[in-house]
Amino acid sequence: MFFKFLLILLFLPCAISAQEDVLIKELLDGIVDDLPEDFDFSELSERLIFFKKHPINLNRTNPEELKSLFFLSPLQIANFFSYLSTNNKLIDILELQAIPGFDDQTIQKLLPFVRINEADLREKITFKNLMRIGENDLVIRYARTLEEQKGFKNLPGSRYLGTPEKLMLRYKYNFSNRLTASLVMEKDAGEKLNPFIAANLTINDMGKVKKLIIGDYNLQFGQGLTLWSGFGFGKGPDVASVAKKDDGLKPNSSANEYSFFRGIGAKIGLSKNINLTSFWSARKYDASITTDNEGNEVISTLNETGYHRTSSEINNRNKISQNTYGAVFEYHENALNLGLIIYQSNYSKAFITDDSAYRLFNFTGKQLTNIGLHYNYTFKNIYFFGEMAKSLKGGNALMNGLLISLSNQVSMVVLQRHYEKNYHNFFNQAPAESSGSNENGFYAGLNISPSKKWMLSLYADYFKFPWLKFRIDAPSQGYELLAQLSYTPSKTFKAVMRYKSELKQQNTDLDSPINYLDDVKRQSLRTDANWKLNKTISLQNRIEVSAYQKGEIKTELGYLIYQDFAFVPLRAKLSANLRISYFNTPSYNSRLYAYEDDILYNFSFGMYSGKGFRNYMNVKYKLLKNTDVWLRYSLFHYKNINVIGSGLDEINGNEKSEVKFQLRYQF
Amino acid sequence: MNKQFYIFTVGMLWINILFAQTNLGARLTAMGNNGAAVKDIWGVAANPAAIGNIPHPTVQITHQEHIFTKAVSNQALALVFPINRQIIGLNLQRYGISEFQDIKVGLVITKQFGEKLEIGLRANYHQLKISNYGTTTGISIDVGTIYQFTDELCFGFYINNPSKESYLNKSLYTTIPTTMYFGIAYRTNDKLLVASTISTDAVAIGIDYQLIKSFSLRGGLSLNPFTHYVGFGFSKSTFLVDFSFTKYPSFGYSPQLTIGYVF
Repeated sequence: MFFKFLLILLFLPCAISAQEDVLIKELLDGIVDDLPEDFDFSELSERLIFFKKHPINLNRTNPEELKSLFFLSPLQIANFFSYLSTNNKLIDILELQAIPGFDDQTIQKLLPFVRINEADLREKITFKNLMRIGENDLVIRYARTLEEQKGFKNLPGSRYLGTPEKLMLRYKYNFSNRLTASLVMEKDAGEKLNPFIAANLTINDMGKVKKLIIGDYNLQFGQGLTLWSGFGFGKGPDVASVAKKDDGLKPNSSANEYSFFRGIGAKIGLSKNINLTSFWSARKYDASITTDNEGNEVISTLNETGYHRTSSEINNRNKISQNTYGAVFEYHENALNLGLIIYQSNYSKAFITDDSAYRLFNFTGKQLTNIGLHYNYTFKNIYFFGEMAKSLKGGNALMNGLLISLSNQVSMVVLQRHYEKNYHNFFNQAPAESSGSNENGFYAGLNISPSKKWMLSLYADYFKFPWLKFRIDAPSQGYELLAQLSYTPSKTFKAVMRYKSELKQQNTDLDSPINYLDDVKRQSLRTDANWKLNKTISLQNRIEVSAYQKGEIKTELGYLIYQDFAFVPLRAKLSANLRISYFNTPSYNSRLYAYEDDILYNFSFGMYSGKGFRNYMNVKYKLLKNTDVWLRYSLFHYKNINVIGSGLDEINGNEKSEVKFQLRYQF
Repeated sequence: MNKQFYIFTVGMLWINILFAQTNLGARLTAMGNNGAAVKDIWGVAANPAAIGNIPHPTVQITHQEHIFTKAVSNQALALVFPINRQIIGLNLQRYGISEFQDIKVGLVITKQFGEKLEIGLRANYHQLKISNYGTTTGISIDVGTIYQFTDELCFGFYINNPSKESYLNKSLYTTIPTTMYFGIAYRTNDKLLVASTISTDAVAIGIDYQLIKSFSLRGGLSLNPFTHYVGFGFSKSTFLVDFSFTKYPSFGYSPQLTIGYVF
């Protein structure tokens, strides 16, 4: 049936993949394994779409703005500003080639998002201007799984109390980046119509107050060891991405329900070189509550999923409140940046640890104070960065790294980290294998680009967990390796080959009198090819093989093959893309992940496990000048099974399909 | 007595992992013990073709220790002597503890064929001495080649003991290993060299970066087991000093010092 569907599709003139999509796709494809399912990446694409529409004026920009172009490395950004300070303004965009570290690939990526102007016209914030110049963007999304999941049946015990639709509404307002506002409402599948709501109002550049946010916001400072909420890059094929580029205070307009602040935040310029970001946040978290020996209500676990579908999930909703306040001082002078962070969070109920030994050093109590000091310094072709942090009362954490451009063709990153097992922090996104505590490690990465056509990226990360972890009943260690070679002989063809290998230790599955750790080794090898047949049609395909081995048990092999088609006729109202794929993995252990094209603002990843087909198609139609609609249909067709999923998500049958519909109205 | 026993057993267990690789001097060690495509005097111990373009007689000696126990150590000597378009090289290697000693003597001859190709041969004499068990000896032949593909890119290949010779004493479980090495070296400019060696039992990658004219920094990684290396080197007219530091995953650190002289 679905083949018929696909055949029809082939005759549709179509495509959606714009340049920013390709960029994000390349970046995210490497980091997906470590991210939670259903993560909202929309922030990334929105940023690029915004800069495409309103290019950055390179003669008037600041580090913060360039940092939001996430494909630039911190060293490139530092080199750019040191070039500006010695050579004054850029006269031609081609001057970028003269800046150390700006290779052709970077410049090609950068061009769509930048321009060169003498000065910017700055509109005053008046009511008239707000109405005239302000841009409004409204997105409404509907999605649902077509097959009935077990949780929606009239079960006696736990079941989903709401409806199977997933709904999202997002409204954004932008007045030439000086005043912005957004509102997001989201209802997950299985929830009653009592949506998650996030909203904010942001004002930039009001004299000494450089930024003011009321509502939901994120704080991203230093290397993420002390204070980083929302999304952050980590290890990936872009080896320099372990050196984080902090954005500071920024509005949160994503539908992610866990990691953000709610209240008020302001960035104030104290002097030419010193900025103060001060914030206060009061928000609630979902948590399951138990009582301790003295009869007090205490927190047994914090729920990060944001789902409120069953009666127990609803019961846990907003069970505890968190009050956070703090300040960040940032000092910058020429090539040196320093930051000092102090903040405290107070919880309405106390955290406890249960009897499990691996949780012995977890945070307990109601109050946590975090302090941190971060730095970065650029010296010639070397960018030094690092952060040290302490939790009160608790342990310390330290990381240092350097990014060095060894020659025009080769750049290197090394990073050392030492996070104590009792270092506690709820807003920690430091570069790490698992989490920013109970971990020591050393990361080294190399980018080699001998010519425009070839690019080789390598990294190796070695880590140790000095204390026990979940399902690891002893101190353990492991490593992760990645090698990626890409070949771009022309503008219409690109091929990428990637090998990734990871070794970790885990409790043995064998029944033995002494519990010991087994090595768990995962490897994957993939080849991608991208063709642009003509201006309208492009193709991408992939073959990937994965291997999983635990202990002495025989290696398990899985594979995935897909073919993508994209049709983007110039100036046509209709565009579309689709994927046909086949996967076969003996078990969940050898599962594979792949980026999937989706409707705009909604980047997604497919998890391919079991045996069967995965197909989808996206269609975009320009309804009116300022109104676009998207439609997506996706299908998993499994072989040799008659039940999909488990628990309340279980589906009787061998097909799981989803439809999505999205409307965007810009005015 | 206990301590001695401990050192002996642990030493016997780990000695192969620690020093089974031939010592390649502090420079190549700091680059991840990786010398298949790197033109260096320690080609006398790695790829015998790698000494093919050394213009002057040169000698280097090296000493490596293990911080876990000073009893385990490793010394080596490399000597090359160019004669017309041929280079003669000598290599001495010793590793072990006093109860377990392995000595290797290698004699190398390397010839350049045109501007780009070099081929080298090495004849080795091995001697293994274990207290209370006696001594055994063996002879093996190694062969290697290096091809300068472009100014930047160089490939190397060598194989140790292709004819699978063994020690004379057949009751011994230790063999003279047969190993194949393939290497690639990429020199972006005078300052930077990136090299990798893939062999039948390990993968290594390393860099040599000339920070200033007489001072270089080096780093490397090798797998199986996962090992980190760092090092630096000074050179001043005819003298050089190289230092390397190896970190093994489970048994600590090992420093190494090499000094050399060009005649």
